[in-house]
Amino acid sequence: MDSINNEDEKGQFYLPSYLLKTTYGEKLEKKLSTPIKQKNDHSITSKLSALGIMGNMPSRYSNADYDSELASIFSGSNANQSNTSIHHDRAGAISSTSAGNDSVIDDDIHSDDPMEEEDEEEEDEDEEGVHNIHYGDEMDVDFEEDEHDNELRPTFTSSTGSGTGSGSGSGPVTGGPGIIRGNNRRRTRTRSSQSSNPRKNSKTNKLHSLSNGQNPLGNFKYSLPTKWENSTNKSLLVSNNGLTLKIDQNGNNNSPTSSSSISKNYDHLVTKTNNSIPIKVGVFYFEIKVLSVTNNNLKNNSDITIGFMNSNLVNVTKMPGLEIGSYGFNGSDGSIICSQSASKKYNCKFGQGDIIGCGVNFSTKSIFYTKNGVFLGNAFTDINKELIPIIGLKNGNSISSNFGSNEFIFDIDGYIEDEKVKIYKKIFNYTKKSDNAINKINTHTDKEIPNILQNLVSSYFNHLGYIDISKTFLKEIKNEQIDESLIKNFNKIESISSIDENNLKIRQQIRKYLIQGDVESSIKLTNLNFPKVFENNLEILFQLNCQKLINFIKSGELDEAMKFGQSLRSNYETNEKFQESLNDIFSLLAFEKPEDSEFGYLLSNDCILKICDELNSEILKSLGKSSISNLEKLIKHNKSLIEILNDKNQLDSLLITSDDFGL
Amino acid sequence: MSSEEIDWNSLMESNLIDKQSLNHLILNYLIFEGYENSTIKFAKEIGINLDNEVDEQGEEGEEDDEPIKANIIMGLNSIKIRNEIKLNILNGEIQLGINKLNLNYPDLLEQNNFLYFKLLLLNLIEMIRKNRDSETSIKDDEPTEFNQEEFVLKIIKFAQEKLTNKAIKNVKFMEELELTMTLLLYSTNDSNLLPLRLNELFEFKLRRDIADLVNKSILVNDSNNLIDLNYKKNFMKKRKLQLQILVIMMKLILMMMKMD
Repeated sequence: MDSINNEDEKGQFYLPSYLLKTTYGEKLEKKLSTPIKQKNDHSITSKLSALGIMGNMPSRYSNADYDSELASIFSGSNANQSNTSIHHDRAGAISSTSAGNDSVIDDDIHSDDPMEEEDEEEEDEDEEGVHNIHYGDEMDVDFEEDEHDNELRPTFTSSTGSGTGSGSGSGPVTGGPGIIRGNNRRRTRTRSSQSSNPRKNSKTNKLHSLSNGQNPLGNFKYSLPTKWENSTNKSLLVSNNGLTLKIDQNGNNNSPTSSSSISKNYDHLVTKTNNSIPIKVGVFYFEIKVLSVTNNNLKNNSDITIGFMNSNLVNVTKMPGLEIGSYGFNGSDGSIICSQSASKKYNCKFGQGDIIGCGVNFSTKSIFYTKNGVFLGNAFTDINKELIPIIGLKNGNSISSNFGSNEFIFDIDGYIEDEKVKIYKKIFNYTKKSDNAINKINTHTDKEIPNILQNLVSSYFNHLGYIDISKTFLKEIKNEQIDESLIKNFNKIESISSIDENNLKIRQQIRKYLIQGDVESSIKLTNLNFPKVFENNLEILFQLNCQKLINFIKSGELDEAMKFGQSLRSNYETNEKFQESLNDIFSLLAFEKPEDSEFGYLLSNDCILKICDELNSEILKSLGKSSISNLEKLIKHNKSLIEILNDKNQLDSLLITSDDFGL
Repeated sequence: MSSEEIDWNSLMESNLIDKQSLNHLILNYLIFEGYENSTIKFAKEIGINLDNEVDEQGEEGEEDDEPIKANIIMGLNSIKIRNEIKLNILNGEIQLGINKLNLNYPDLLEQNNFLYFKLLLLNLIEMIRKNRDSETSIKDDEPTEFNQEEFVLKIIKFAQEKLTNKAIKNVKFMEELELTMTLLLYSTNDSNLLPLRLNELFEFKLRRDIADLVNKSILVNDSNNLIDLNYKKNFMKKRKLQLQILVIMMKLILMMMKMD
């Protein structure tokens, strides 16, 4: 197999992108990404402190790990390779130790290709692995032909390229500071690509321990189907990775146990997947490729039947669809059958080389199939139970399957997008019908929506203290108020915003000072007008002081910075979290061009703006007002409602993610 | 119920909102609605440089950020003209709006028959409305009658010249045109006396709807000029008006909850 070309394949499993479009996937992603990020930050701090760049030596480095860690940083990759046994660093995350583990623990999956191992180690040197958890399901199994495999995932490389691409650019570097620079730059990039490409986050039950059992994803379990289970019947061969199925035609000669069952040629041998599909997943989709059929003369029809069964059925022995609670699509005549009913004509038959996709959409309660990337239409409806994919094969059949580890032939992402558009349409049209009383109320308010939006936006500006923008905005929307009720409403908005004007002006001034870099004045002004703020919240004061320190560094007043920083350090001696942040800031001093370094983000304007917003919301809190704007409240409300609806398995909500309303 | 309330609070807490994307959402709204000055000020406030992207459409800078930014500031080029046209339509100056549209987007109305028809129909309605308003202000009997006749002829001529040929090809258009023409049968000013469906034609919401439609059409037209199909797809499907979706969705969900 082609391990060099498919660099991406070798260790990473990403959430199939279509899943990210559903609420369920969104949740999974959240679970996955949070611990990884923490891990990442932690590791950078550790590394720099290990190099003595940041003043203190953290206590966690008083153990033996420290030496090997330091060694590996200075000598680049060499330490990794030669010192495999003592390399347990937290920072490097995936060390060669874990690469070694790959082949030991997951011997059922890993190919014996020595190239593979080497590749993996190279990746370790890049330390890319921090957020790419290795998984082995990609590996080929012996009896599967290479070309089939490649055909099934032609676009894989391109689709997952970005994450690995960011790492592959930098080879192992030797020499002291150079390494750090190189590492840091890449880290920054990786971090940004991580946020923009959530797919890179990894999953599966094949998670590898990152180091010393500190697997940040330890509590995460991916519970969707990823492979076929071994059949009770020995003549149905399931490959080690659980993706390729085969019925050995000569199986009865080799293994006597199976001889009795294989003789009944018209019986399907059935297996199911390892996990079931909960309803709240919204949409689940997988594809199989027919590798060989029973009769070589009739290659374009196969005896394969593929479908689902209700997960409460323990086992099926008959062809999918022949038992109550199971659904099947048959390749010999293209018919569909469910729950013992008579089979129905659905589509054309399928055979060797065809790729058949099976999907279930719980938001429309339907099961659909695709053939070679073409949607065949809904096959079954009124699906409202948890399902398990099942497949029935006959003598001589073999298939390979894709549960989302590779790119699908069918544009499942597009399918979900289309379904979403349908939901939007439904939502928008919902207000137009006036069949009952509830809807009538809604049509009435529908007229006011532009107004509600304007109100929300204007209150958002006020909330943040953007008095200037708020005024401009009001001026601009004034021309639009053509209706009497609208004008009335508008006046309300206007009057509200003028009530707090004084307060607003102060807040804006504080903001201005901060943006200009005059932290001292903004602290004074805050203290003068809103004395409670700093009493109640030490952290915001600390952050402001940090900003001051950063401003010193920015303007190149390094002596001042050292002095001020040291006083800060002693002031907040007891607080470990603050000390860590200070470490980060101090590390800026170590770089010739701090803005290019890993900690460059501390210098960016975004950072200032963030503190502005935080201070603002603290001020509002101290005044007894809500610390979040109405708009935020609305969005939070909305998100929460969707979550609740989801838990109740409400149909349409399954497909709506916060991304759909821009957040 | 009490247990659910507790859950609710923690749920609200757990849903963190990324401040930056919230700001992007607002910016998207401002650009969409054509509030130019607010857009410029707000963008400055949240640290997005608009000037760069206006001419480059996201060809410079870091690859990771650009598509997002390009997506957010989509439609910035046309922000001024869109707002002008929107205000024209909202104020009932439909012909002015059509002229501006034709001047700036010569192909748009030609290609988009639906939009053109809607605009002309609105124009017709506004003509009738105007006539009615002026009728109330002039109390003289004789000249009104004379004017009235002239006015009806004018309306019919307008409908014949501009609308009929479009309506002939489309049953729905024809129905709408017919409905609008029946407005001529009523000479009353009291909107309460009009049948509901006719009354809807006089509602300001219609102006707003059409203005929104024009706004969207221009944006879509703009996005057609983008080379990258991905942006386009994204834009067409998602970047309609997210804030609006948000509010509507909110209501809908609340309703669903109530019905449960």
